[in-house]
Amino acid sequence: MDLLLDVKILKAGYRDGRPVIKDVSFSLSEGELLLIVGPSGSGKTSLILAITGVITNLLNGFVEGDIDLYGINPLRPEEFLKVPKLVGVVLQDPEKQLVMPTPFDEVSFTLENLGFKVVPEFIMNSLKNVGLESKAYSPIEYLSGGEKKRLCIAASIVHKPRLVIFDEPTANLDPWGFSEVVKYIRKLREEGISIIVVEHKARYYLPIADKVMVITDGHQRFYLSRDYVLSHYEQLTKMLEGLGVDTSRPKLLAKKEVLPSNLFEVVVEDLWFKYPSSNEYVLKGVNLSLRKGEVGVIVGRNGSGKTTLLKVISGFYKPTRGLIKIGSYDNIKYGKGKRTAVFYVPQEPDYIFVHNSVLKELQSCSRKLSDFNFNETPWINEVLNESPYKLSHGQRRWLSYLIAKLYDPYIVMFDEPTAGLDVRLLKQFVAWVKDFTSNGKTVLIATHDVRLLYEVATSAFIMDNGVLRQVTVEEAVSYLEEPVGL
Amino acid sequence: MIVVKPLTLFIYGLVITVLAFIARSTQQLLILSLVNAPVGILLGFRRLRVLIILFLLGLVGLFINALVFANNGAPVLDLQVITVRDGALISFLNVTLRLLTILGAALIFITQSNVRDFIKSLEEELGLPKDVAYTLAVGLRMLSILERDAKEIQLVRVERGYRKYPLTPSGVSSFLRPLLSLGLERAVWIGIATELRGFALRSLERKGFRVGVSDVLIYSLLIIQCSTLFMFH
Amino acid sequence: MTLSKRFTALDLTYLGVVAAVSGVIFALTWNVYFIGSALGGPIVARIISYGLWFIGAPLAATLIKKPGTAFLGEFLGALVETLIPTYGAFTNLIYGFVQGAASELAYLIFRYRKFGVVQASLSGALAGPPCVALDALLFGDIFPPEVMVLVTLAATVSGAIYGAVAALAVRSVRR
Repeated sequence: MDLLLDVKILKAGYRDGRPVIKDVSFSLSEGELLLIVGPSGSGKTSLILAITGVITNLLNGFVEGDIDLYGINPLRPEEFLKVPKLVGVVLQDPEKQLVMPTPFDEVSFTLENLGFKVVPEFIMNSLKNVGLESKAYSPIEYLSGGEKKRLCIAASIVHKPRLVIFDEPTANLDPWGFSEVVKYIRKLREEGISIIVVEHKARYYLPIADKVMVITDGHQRFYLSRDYVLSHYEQLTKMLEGLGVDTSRPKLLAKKEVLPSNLFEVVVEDLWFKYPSSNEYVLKGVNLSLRKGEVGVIVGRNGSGKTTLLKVISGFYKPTRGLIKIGSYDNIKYGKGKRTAVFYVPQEPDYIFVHNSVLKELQSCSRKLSDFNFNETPWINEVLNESPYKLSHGQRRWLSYLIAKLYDPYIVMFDEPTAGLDVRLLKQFVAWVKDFTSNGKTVLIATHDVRLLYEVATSAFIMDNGVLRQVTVEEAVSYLEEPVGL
Repeated sequence: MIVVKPLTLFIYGLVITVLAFIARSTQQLLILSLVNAPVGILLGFRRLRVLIILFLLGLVGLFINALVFANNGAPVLDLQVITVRDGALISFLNVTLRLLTILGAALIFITQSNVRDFIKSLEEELGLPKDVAYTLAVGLRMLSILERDAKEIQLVRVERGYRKYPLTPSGVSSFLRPLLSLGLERAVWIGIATELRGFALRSLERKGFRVGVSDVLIYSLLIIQCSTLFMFH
Repeated sequence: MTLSKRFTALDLTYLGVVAAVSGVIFALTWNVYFIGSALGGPIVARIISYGLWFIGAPLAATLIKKPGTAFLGEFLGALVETLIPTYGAFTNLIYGFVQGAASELAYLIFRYRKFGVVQASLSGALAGPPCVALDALLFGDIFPPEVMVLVTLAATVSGAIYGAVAALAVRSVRR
């Protein structure tokens, strides 16, 4: 088999003197699938950017080493221009890759760039391969997350590259979305296309990888062949779990203890809601109740209405019909620096910040700073005068949880709090939830992350097309695992 | 269905706008506005009725403006508090007709064109550099995402007790920062993805101007309006 | 932001985002203008709103730091605003072009070597007088001389303030 890619990197990074990749070397032959696994922040994505020449040519970074991609050296500016023809790269977040108004345009864009003549039948064919030909001319805004992802794939491989690289292909997707993507990658593999998959959710790919590379902290820990992987599967998965990589099916722990409380914190009765400009109901007769200290987890597909439910309960929209009671309030009132009954934490921490420094953010909530200790987050003291936007993603999430806590609400609502987080950051979130609810507070989470069901849920609900039903935690787990075929 | 190229309508709208400013007399403005305003408003009423209504409300302000700054000439109306003179009326009429013309032309363009075709034709026919065409495409794509961002930001601001819409510089700054932070993060990855899709190599063959029957009609309409302007000089 | 003179896809994407953000701000600023006008007349209206209409230039330039970005940020923002569409319709393009060119001067003066808060503030300020001139030329907004001076001053000061706001926001957000 031909050697398609040969990589030997001594050091690579974005800023001089601060390498994010140290001592990595691997190779890929034609038709092979290489799986690169590691926890968040281990340098996996940077590795992709290094081998495609992006770090050196686009981001003013440095790469010390040798890279041979089918005879060219991507590190050199003239040869960097040849990379797009050979490689197709599918990045993590479709919202951060798509640029054109419609799928047809998006796929044409790649072809036009590379100098190919755009033949409409050819474009429609590639859209057909990912199941999008009926939406070829729909505005991209109307596509679902899974569809956008499939579009990214189509647009990145339409020119039939020799190597396709996937960066966290299942991030940001609900289980329905990512089962499609995994199937598609398997199909590509069967067609003999060389593939690199970078993931922290290793378990879906281990069975089909020819080579597995494990990277932590920028260092290459292991570089294993398929035979080794298959014969040492158990040990390997245990070791990877220890490193923060998702490998095995989480196990359902014993039933969580709920504080013996008869008091209901949240009661929602027969809630109907539609947006003023629409005729369709998004929420249809929702009934939900949670006791003090409970953790309710609502699961459902993207677009099923979970987020809308949280927002209506938080008082951002008036229900069209129905009753909401939080503690003893029927009416939520918000005020500057005032304690609030319910606090909604949006999916992106950036939405929550209003001030210029971490300190001001914390001071502007209702509780006094001195009431809290920051033992779990000692790093806070070092960044008090920094702008919240300069913190790392994990730190920003933490700050948003802190802010939620400092408004001292009876109930906190989370919208997809663990999207894209690896096992280690997930555990931190779980610890936060346990701490919060141990004081008699309530938490309601909308998610499609099955790990949260295992770790924190005391009550589970399934939201399907605006209709909510209460289920056991096990049922909710099956609901999420079933589409992925596990 | 008459299909006119968006580029044609864009050029039409731009030229009409310029004409609206060149025209100084009421007769000229009357012609321009009679052609463009009714058509535009008719086409645009369903989608953009808010804009149209706001525009009409804005006319009140213009009237007051005219009363304050151009109230000279023969008296026309005597309200105890103030005498309205024909100078004010004419000034108000002119500005209104001018604005109606511009609004009409804009509505025609917006309602009848497909923005995607517009940008495409800018690049292919007008020879707009690929860099600018790309930037525009990104800008338009970002618009709907930004709208979503803005809504979420407003929600959280309300929740934390702040104003939904900022009015002071520091308020604007606090609204701007999350928009920028999220937008820029998207921009980095989109930029990387675009380069990896070979953007640097892009060079579309210029197809030159393509003109259909309906385009010819629009251009003729434009030329007619230009010449009537000169006739009424 | 890269060191070479050529605009990379990264620069262009940043520019696109700035154009979109500016377009949205320009569209929303009409409300601010009308509120200001109703509350305090032409001078107050300009002080609180005009700077917002000049913000595309300092945003783009502080972010991308290359020649031409100030002009493009403002002009493309105006183009996006035209496509939304808003009040000014096609006239926005005329304003965007002229304001963008004026703002670009602020960076040209420093030979494109500095892209800090001072330059941003200056670029916002420089867009003020041409904007007021266009108002007079195109919409007949001609006031008595003393008022004209104040109105121009208001626009310029507003531009300076929001130019600084733009640069500081970019600084606070850049990782």
